[in-house]
Amino acid sequence: MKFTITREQFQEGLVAVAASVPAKTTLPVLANILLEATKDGLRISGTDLDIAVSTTVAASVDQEGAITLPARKLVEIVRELPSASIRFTASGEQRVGLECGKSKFKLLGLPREEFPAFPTVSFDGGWTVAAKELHKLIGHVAFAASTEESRPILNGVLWELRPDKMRMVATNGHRLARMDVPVSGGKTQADLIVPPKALDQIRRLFGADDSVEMARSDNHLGFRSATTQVYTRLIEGPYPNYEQVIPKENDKVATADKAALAAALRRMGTVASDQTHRIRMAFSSGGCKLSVQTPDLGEAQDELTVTYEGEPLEIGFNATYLLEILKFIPTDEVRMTFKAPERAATCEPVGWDDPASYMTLVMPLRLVD
Amino acid sequence: MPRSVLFIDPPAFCTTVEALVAPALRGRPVAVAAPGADRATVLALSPEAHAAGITRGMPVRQAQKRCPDLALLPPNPKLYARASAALHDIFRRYAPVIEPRGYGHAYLDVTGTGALFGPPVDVALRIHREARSGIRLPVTVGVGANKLVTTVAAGQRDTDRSSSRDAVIPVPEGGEAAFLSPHRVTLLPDVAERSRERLDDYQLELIGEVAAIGAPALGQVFGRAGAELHAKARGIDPRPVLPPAIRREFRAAHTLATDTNDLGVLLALLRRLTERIGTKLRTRHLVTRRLRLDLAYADYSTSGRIVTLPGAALDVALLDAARRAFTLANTKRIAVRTVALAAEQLMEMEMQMELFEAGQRGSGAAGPDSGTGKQEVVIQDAIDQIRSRWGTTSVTKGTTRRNDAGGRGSSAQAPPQGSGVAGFGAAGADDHGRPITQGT
Repeated sequence: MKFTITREQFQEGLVAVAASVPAKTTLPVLANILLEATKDGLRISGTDLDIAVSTTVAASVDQEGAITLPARKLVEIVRELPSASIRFTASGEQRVGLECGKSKFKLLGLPREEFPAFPTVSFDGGWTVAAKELHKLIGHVAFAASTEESRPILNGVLWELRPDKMRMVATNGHRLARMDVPVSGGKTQADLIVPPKALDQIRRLFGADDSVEMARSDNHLGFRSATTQVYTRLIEGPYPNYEQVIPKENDKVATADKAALAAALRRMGTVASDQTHRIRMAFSSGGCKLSVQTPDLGEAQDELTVTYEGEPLEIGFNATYLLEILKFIPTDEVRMTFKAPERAATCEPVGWDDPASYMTLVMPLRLVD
Repeated sequence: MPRSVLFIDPPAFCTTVEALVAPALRGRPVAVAAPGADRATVLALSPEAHAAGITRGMPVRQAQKRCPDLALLPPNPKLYARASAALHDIFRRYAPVIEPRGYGHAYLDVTGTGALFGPPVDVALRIHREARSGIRLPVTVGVGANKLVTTVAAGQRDTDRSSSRDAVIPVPEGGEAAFLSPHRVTLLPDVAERSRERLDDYQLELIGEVAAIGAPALGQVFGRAGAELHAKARGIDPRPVLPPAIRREFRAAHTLATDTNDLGVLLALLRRLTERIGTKLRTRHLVTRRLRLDLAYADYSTSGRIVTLPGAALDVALLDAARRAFTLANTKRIAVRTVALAAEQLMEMEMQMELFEAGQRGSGAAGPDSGTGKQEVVIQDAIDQIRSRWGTTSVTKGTTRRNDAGGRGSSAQAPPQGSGVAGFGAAGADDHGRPITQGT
């Protein structure tokens, strides 16, 4: 294997793939990336067995071949190299020489055969989506997924593909985010539960202007553009019936300035319990009074101007959940709806000029008097 | 700013309080012990009983032989708690931070109160006077820069403390090591029994002798405890005075009146202990993530087991964990003497409501009582409400009423008579700050 590549091209490819290489692994070859020199250029691949990423970068290939090299070490080396062409020369299956200007390295790798095969996903009969729509969905929904290992199904993002729309839903059992994006000409109907980590990779690796091909096998989902491919394991199992927990009878509505609400929440959060982040919000026609009382620490009060319609209401929330949700609300104003102190509250953007529809909800904290 | 700490030590608190309500006891040797137990021991005693050769922990029968005039009283936790509360009312007038150490005993941090109340010694004198005149309780007050020296100061019992001046023992700042030096090492608080034996082996009798040895040398003999012992001997104690708002653990223990390995009795006892811990947890909106069970057997051997929990506060979840721990720990065919349960790793109760019902959430749980459904929570709430209105024994499981003497006697109505029970501090403590109550 012999090829020449610019340092910038090589670094771009490495950065794209390196994120899929596990930091710790019991299988040594997974700490390596696979370099394949072909007539189309240099293909760089990495995997942690759950997510596999492959990207092709331009290179002048003199002799085709493949080898795996330690990912982190290679990234470190390339980062320190001067901006010049890098010449790769493999000697045997496990040694590679790397020259850049006057710098020379010899690295030991592992044979290509030891690298795990990528999942087999046929893109024939798959479907195509605009990457910008994917970005929008992932960027607004994936944050709500659970990170607790004890509830694996909630560790995934539900992706519903319908002929007229795509919907993503994520929840950790306490808060939920849902977004619908209209599509036209869709032919497929599918419900997929995708790990958020894979969605993050997709958001990172595909540019907003790309058109992304998608296809699934029994257990895997594949995405590809002209130069990049991403495969992820799908999470199996029935997703909880989220529709039934979305409130439809919330009759109390508060509209607030997002930045002001977030600032007030952050202020209250400084005195809230480190464990529950519990704050109390009292809504009335006069506005919203926020308060927090934490044993052994102290208490705080704040007031916020909001437009409120409905009976006065006192409700408790985890301030962290609310702040996180506000971060993803795409407008300056936010509308919150309530039914009762023990019922789910919704949080939606006000006046969003976008064909997509976005809704989040959060369960309250039980208030202790 | 140098710290100013007071340690309030009402000598022979329990028997003094008993003598206040029954003046006939004054001047008589008095001891407090659980009545009717086969193997009851002395829990608290008056100075007269002490002079008669009785010691705390001595079997009652032996004490009676040694002192035939001994007046034996059953523990009266409510009386002690009332007297203790009256004392604390006085403390609160002067100290912003109070750390109770059992009935009547407390550490007071009066740092920075000089402008309001004067020097710490004046505060100590006032507390002594007000306790004496207001509730007729004598108190000894150690005054110093930390909890260690104040404890030792108040613990000196070789002087007459009838006057205020004698009852307040100040330790000057910077003079801690010199103050401790002539005292016996047995006065050093919180030293492990093994370390005490080691000190005895090396014939180190005075604190000054220990202080004179370097920390490395002590470390070679005592291991990790060596450095701590060295610091203590020099009067160094960085522990802050902490209010008891949130305790690191809740503990409940019961020493059976009669040793037994009757599972019926032991499991009923477990239920009572878990109910007490559960009540305490729920009242304070806490959950425990670790339950530790310790067993002491009739042959003085011990066994223990820890069970981890996702976060529990319901009686049913705690009992389940306690039974699991008991099954794992109880590996001997020897009668059990003491059962102790401790709820550790306390966290604030998860008040976050769930979007999905338990059945929809999948395996595991994020709530305070995983594995227990909504029904158990409702039942527990109802039981707690009844108990808060009608008392803790107003509603109990039938199995909880088993007598700890193996089912003999009229246990269905009367609670079993234990020779010693630990509580949550609030339940009571003996003259040395160790908790006691009258049975469970």
